[in-house]
Formats: sequence, structure tokens, C-alpha cells
Amino acid sequence: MKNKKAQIQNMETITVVIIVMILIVIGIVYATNQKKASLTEERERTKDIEAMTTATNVLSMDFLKCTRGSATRETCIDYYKIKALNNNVFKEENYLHFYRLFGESKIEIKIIKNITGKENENITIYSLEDTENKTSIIIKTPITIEDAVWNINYFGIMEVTAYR
Amino acid sequence: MEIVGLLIIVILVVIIIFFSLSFKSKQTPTNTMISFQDTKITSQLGIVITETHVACGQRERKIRELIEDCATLKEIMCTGKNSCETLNETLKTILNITIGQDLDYILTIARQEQQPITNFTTQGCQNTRRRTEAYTTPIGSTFGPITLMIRICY
Repeated sequence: MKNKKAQIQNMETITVVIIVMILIVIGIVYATNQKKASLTEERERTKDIEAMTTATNVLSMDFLKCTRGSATRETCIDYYKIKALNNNVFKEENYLHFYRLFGESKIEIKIIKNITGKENENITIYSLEDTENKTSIIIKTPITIEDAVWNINYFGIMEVTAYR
Repeated sequence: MEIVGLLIIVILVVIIIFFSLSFKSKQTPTNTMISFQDTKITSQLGIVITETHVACGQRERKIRELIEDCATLKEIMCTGKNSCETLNETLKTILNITIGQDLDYILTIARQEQQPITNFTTQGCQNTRRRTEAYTTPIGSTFGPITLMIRICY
């Protein structure tokens, strides 16, 4: 009789130990998943900040801005300066500089010319697509595109695509 | 044996707490990006719109000129349409391209305290209880100040 009681007590102890172990395992799995999720979130936030920095970098480049006398205008980009940049951005001597500024992203300017009776135009300033990371985020910014030769301001949208 | 039943209940409670916690944490997306994008678009849109040129007959005119004329004399004619009609058409095109697909907005242009000369309001902005953020662009004219206001509804 005593032997049977002891056996039951042993069984209980083993069950309790197993259940406690299960609890510990659940805790570890949960903690790992949480850590993984927070790392992914952190990575996405970093990429978001990078995209915002890239968008701000393009608009803060003084050599692209419209100039009147010695003053530059914040929301205006010169049409001919973008075209010139587009032709020079991937030259060997310039590549590293622009890679540091824009990283893996695509910067496209859509010029809405149809309201002036002309055909719309798209100019890609910079494009370095990340083939491994499929997801991307797009930041749109309205800007004035000034054609200083014909003295016309076009409505433009700068689209910065950052790859995650 | 009672202790085993108690532990099973404890396990179930712990599992439920873990699941509810992980579900809650997944439901909070970062909206820094969205607010950056919205602020960027709406804060610059008014300035960019007023500086843009539009085809008006044989020449190009700035939208600022059309707004001033529409709010005051209504003398400018662009291929059979007056300044207000040309302004409305142009604004419609620009708004559709920029914020039309992604955001709910109100765009109004008004001279001082008078009735607005143009007003674009999307469905989502008709509910006045929604939180809004307004950006104004002042347009000076000899007949008094005119204001272009863009309001985004969240």
C-alpha cells in the first residue's frame, strides 16, 4: 500500500516537472518570437528613416535648386540641372558620392506637362534596385520644375522608392 | 492528482496571456512614415500649385494669376473658358495625381471672409468629427489677401 502511494507521489512530481518544463519552453519560444518581431520592426523603421533621409537629401542638394540671383528656392528644382544629373550620376567618379547619399533606392521625377498643353515627362535621377529585398516604400513630394529657358514652371512629383 | 489539474489550468492561462500579448503588439504599426509623407505633400502642395504654369490660349499663365483673377475681376479667358473654370479643371487634375488616391482632403481658395471661390472636398472629409490638419498658402492681391487652404482628414 505504502509502495503504491510512493509511486503516485513520484508520478505527480514527474508530471509537475514536465509541466514546468513546458512552461519554460513556451516562455523561451515567446521571448524569441518577440525579439525577432522587434528586430524586424527596428529594421523597417531604419529603412523608413533612410527613405525619408533620401527624400530630404534630394531636395537639399543646392546644385539642383532653382536660383534667382544668389537666392535658392526650397520647393523648386531646375529642369536642366536634373537632366544633367541624370547623365552624370552613374559615372565612375560620381557613383560613390551618390551611393552614399541615396543608397539602394530609385528617385524619379514625374513632370506634369499636360496642363501646359505638352506631353508629360518622367526623369529617373538615380536608380539602384535591390533585387534581394522585394518590398519597397514610396515617398511622394510635390515640387516645382523650372524651365529657365522658356520661363515656365511645371508641376512635378518626386517619387523616392526605398527598398526594404 | 489535484495539483496536475491546477497546473494544466495555469498553462492554459499562460498560453492565453502570451497569445493576447503577441496579437496586441502586432497591431501597432509605425505611422511615422505616413505622417512624414502626408506632411511633406500637404505643406508643399499649396506653394507648388500657385507657382505652376497652365496653358491659357496662346500663352502660359501661373495658377496664382488665375486665382487672383477668379477671386476679383474674372477677365482672363483661356480658350473659351474663364479663369475660374480653367482653375477648377487644373486643380482637379493636380489633386487626382497627388493626393487624390491616398488621402481625404479639403482644398479651398477664399478671399478674406467671403465665400470660397473654389472648394474640393472628398467623401471622407465630410464627417466633421475626424481629426484634421490644415496648411495655408497666402496669395497676395491688390484687392486683398486670398488664402489657399489644404486640410487633410485622418
